[in-house]
Amino acid sequence: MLYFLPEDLLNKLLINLQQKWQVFVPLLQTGGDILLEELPEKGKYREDCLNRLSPGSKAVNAQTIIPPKEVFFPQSEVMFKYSSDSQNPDQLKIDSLKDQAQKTNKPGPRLLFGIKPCDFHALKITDNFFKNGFEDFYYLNKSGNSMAIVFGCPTPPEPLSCFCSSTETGPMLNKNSGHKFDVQFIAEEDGYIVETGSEKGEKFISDNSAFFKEPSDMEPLEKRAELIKSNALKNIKLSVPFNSAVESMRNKDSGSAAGGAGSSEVENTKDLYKSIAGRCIYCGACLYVCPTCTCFNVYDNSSLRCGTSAITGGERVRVWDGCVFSGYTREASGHNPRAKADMRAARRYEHKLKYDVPVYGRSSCVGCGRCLTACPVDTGMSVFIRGITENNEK
Amino acid sequence: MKNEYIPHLAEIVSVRKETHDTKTYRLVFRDSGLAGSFDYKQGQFVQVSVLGVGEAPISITSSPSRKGFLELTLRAAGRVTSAICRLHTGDSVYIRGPYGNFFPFKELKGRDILFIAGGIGLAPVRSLINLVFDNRDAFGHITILYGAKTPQEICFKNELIKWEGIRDTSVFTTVDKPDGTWKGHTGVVTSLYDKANINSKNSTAVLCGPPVMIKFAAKELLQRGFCRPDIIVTLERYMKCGIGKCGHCNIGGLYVCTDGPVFTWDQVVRFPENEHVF
Amino acid sequence: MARTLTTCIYCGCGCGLYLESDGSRIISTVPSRNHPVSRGSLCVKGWNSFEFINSRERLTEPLIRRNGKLVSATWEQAVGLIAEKFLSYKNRYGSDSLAFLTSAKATNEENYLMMKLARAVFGTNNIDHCARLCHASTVAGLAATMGSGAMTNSVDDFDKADCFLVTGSDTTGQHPLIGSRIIKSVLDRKAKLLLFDPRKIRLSKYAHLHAQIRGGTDAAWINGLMHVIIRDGLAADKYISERTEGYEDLAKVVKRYPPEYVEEVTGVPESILVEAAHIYAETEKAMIVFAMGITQHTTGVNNVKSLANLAMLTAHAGFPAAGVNPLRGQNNVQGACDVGGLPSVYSGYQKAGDPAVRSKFKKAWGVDFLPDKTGLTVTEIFAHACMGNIKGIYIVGENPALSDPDLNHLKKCLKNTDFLVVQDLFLTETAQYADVVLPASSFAEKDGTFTSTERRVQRIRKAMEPAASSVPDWKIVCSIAKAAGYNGMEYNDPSEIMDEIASVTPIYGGITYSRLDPFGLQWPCPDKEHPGTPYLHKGKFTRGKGLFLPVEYIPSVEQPDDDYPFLMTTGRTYWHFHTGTMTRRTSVLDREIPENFVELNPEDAKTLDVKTGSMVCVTSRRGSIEVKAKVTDRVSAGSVFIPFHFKESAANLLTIREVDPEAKIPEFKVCAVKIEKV
Ligand SMILES: Cc1cc2nc3c(=O)[nH]c(=O)nc-3n(C[C@H](O)[C@H](O)[C@H](O)COP(=O)(O)OP(=O)(O)OC[C@H]3O[C@@H](n4cnc5c(N)ncnc54)[C@H](O)[C@@H]3O)c2cc1C
Ligand code: SF4
Ligand code: FES
Repeated sequence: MLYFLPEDLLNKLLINLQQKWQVFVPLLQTGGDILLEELPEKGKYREDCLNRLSPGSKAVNAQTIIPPKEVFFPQSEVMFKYSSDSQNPDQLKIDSLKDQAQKTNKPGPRLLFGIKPCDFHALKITDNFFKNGFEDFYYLNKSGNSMAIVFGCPTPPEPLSCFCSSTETGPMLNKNSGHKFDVQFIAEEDGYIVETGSEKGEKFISDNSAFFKEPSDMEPLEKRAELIKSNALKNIKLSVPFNSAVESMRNKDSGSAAGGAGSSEVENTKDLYKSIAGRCIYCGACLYVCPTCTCFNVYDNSSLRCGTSAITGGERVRVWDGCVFSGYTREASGHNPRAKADMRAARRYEHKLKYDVPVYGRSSCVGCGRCLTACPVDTGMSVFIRGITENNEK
Repeated sequence: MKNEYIPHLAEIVSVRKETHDTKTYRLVFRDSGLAGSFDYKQGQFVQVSVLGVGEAPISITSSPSRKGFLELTLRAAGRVTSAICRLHTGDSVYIRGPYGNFFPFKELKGRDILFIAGGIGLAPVRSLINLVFDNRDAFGHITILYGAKTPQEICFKNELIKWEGIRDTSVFTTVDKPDGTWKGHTGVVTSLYDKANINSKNSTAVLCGPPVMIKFAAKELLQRGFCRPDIIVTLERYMKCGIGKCGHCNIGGLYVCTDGPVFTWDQVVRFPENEHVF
Repeated sequence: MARTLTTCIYCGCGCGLYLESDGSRIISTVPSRNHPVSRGSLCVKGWNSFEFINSRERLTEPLIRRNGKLVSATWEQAVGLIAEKFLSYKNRYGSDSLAFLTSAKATNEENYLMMKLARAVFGTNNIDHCARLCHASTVAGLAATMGSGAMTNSVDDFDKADCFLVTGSDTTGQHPLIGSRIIKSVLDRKAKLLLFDPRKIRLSKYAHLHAQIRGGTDAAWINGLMHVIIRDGLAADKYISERTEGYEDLAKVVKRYPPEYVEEVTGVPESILVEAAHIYAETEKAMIVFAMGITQHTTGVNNVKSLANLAMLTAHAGFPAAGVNPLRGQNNVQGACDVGGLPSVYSGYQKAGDPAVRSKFKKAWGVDFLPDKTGLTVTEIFAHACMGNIKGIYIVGENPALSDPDLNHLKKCLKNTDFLVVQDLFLTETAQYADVVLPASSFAEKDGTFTSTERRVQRIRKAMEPAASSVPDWKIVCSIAKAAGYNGMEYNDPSEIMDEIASVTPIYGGITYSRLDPFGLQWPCPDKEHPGTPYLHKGKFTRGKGLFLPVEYIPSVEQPDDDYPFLMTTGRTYWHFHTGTMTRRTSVLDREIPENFVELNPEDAKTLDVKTGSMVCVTSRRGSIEVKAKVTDRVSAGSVFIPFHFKESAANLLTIREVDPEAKIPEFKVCAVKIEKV
């Protein structure tokens, strides 16, 4: 179904949504950058935030530097705390989990308002990842009952490094293309065409019916939406042969005997990994900013009795980590299966383009282009895809 | 929802020194409910925490057939393992698990089994060895080949002797660097193959040890007619979560912590980093 | 979830990033895409720069030593004790019995207040900071030749230059976001990289040519380059006659450095020297880039003068993408110098010996007396403490007990100091010697400004309330001034301090907080309308004419010999920063390099019968450490390299106290050691 939200109701809608949801919105920051933040519950700061999101400003159309995974999987988070036992000060014990949960559990399910179609696809992948097999308490505790209000991209956000038409994850969500979503906003001059894609989406509209107009005649709205969508597709600046890259990755393996090592295609790919590794300065940015990268490290942050090494308490923390770091796979013996930088480059690209395909039914690259934007030496998925497909043509 | 990352208090009820840097701990969960319900299989591992220091994956070395406790053998290799090795009877650690897949058991019934282990690699294998011995009649000939760097670094000394005494079982031990008193075999484990007269017929090999050992041991087994699915290895990788989430142990599309640590050689040769894993 | 735009705490690149606070912890770091230096990227240290802030090992309360042990105290007690002690030393032994070490990690405002405290409140010029240990030679050498001791160009120029002469800078490791621009320029724009470095550092992979010089022979090969340039008629005659003076003296000296001789001294083959000279001289946009490998020598000032000579000889100064570019190591070492944390100058490099300068500051600060005698440097301060002349030392945000040379001697000095105050985030190796320890707030917990290597004065902004009962350095300094009876140091917030700095400091004259949003201004910025200065010496040198100051090659003080056959250099790794106080409390960084190592050439390793991972004992005439060997051809035979991050086996136990006579910078880069297998 299609609805219409007049522009001047957007902020009021957001405030209304706060009754039920913890609302996360992309906000314009001091440096002109866009980042997701939780909309404060009240006060002057909320006013300020709403101003920084005003429609038509970059806030809604631009890309957040960090993808929405951070709302459920922040860069660092405390897993649990421990302290010394009151009876036996030398013995540390885990603090009551109930007390800890009360402190960390915020009220209300989370609503991601204004995320991009590519990021929406990525969230489905991370949701799946953290749910499959053992459940990840920390992610699921925050993502449970959450919902995303997607804002389609009428024009690609700066710095034009995204390629969602190639990955078929944008620039707008389309039911016809099999995209499953709840609600999508399509910006127009004086408001938004609001498209629902599920019952949950319909319920969202009816829960907030005071804001959404249901036109008596659907047709003009449908036509307008179609036009914006097709223009959006034309506006995409960067396109890469994504599918043929995925196809060619399927058939080869960087190291395994089973993958047909020695063939010229495999050798070319190896050279490509080497050249990427040759530029890499190991900053980790491509992994940190990737909407589907989920690796983490775990460490204990402990307090010491003044001037001694006696631990008096602390917290177990998890923090983003990544396969580009050599220590990420180094075993205690010193042996390191991925000691070589090109093996680590291979790991990243093969994970996204090859190994995740059978697991999620699609590559876990959603074409957001953030890896290229964040790379200090200008490498990224689109560069790799060009490289590997050019190689194949040779 | 269960929070799988929260470990549980377990008390050290006894400590046995294996070598200068390796000890075997017997543990019992403080929570009696957990003590009863904690069920594991041969070859699985647990995540052991020393609060304030960190967590490390450690194989369960006791056999699931011997209930009521859990045994772990640790070598002081780094921060966590060294911290554990400083603990005594009566101290406690935190444990979660068991994790990972396990050695086949039923499938091996009726077959000969060849165990090949190096150093502390005997720890995970010991779980299966004792399980097999607790069901001795179900299996054919058992051969145990064990290699250590020096005579001082041999783990489970008493048990090796005990196993030797079990019927239809042969045990061979070798060291890389002998000392004056060493009367046994000298050389790498593969140098025991002839002596042990190993035979691939109706036989499964189970391997655990340092990467180089596994590489050469498997290679020679293949030369001696073992087929890939009949060679079973258990692997070590750097691990943080043990439950398929942190990503550290990932090889290709597999997670060593959940799809492993036990793999057949057939799987191993398909690893993308195959040439580097060993 | 609230985000605050701020500036990275680690290196001098000065990347812009957002910190995110959840109210009690900083939970993430995000690069700013619009920031002119970071442009959406950060290095691994920057990406993880939030973690140490949350460390549970942070100091939580002031500590006072009682009966030999540090015990908790209130702020009133600690500050009162400091004021009382310092005043009593001043009265009994004179102002110069006190010394102040300010911090390249602290803000400009805080550094300015530290010098005000030293000079106005306690009447001494004994104020210095770790710039002494990194770029003191640069400040002296460039000021003498060109008139301004800072990087002449901007970071953006790295995208425009066609030739980089990099020497003594492991740029990808120490200034990653400048290193990455060099990599891109070489690979994508075919710029030429001329590398003069004793080690096969990461950049050598991209170098057009790599001259693996013998450590400590810099003046010789630089003179050699100039010899070839003059010999082959490549000198910029017009530029030389119009914009410089002293050319004849230079020509006379470098005449004595023909390539054959240079090859003998430095190990650089003649063909490489000649090729480098031609490429550098013939490329219009050519930048010299240097760091500690040039400055940390007893001949540091000479080395810097030499590089300036080279640039002026070929008209490579005073233009965009051509200049002499010292890369400043710390986030705010440039600023700490700019605002006067030095024994000889006030803010803006105004000379302490100049009566006009002093009377200006007397008026501004409302005091009758300001000292005229040049104060003591870091190395001298400790030496005098050892002799008993210095009674009280106040150290802010520095860890000399790991970062200064010849630690055994230094620790003796620290022990000998009557009254030592250390203000830090952590109980550092230095703080363990203190009589009073003050818990400072981190960069995330306060407002202020840092000045990056490209002279960019930019804001840091408070993202979180101070941890535990820590207090921002500027407030602590003010409270000490107040307790000592001085009323001229009361500010509501750091912007007022900046206004004061601007009013007394010509190069910062146009700087106010409102003008610094979002990404700062590059000094000189003399007035409120001035847009800032992307490159120096445009049209004419700051000192008027550029002055050629020829230098002769003088060998390092301690050469390898039969007893100590290896030449040791020290330095850093990409993963850790300085003494590791912050990076070793950051899980991913600590995981990458958890322990110390010594780099050994395969040839030497063979002779010594050691492999990667074997323990070796490295001994100099001053000390001895045990450390794991790392066999690599990054170092040439006869040389070894040890990073100085690790307290367990501190490289500086081995280094030498000998200093440059002018800049007083110690020779961290060369000493002689022997190595034994253990
Ligand atoms: C499935 C599985 C089962 C395992 N089973 C067992 C088992 O049964 N028994 C067993 O002992 N191990 C076992 N391991 C290995 C064990 O998990 C590792 O040894 C352990 O994780 C190391 O953790 P750590 O914190 O002690 O080491 P870390 O501190 O993480 O050490 C890692 C590295 O840090 C360096 N390091 C840090 N501190 C020191 C120091 N003090 N001295 C020297 N080097 C130092 C070393 O270079 C070392 O390589 C198993 C591993 C896996 C994956
Ligand atoms: S390059 Fe320097 S300033 Fe930039 S993120 Fe790294 S340490 Fe911080
Ligand atoms: S150990 Fe975390 S994924 Fe396997």
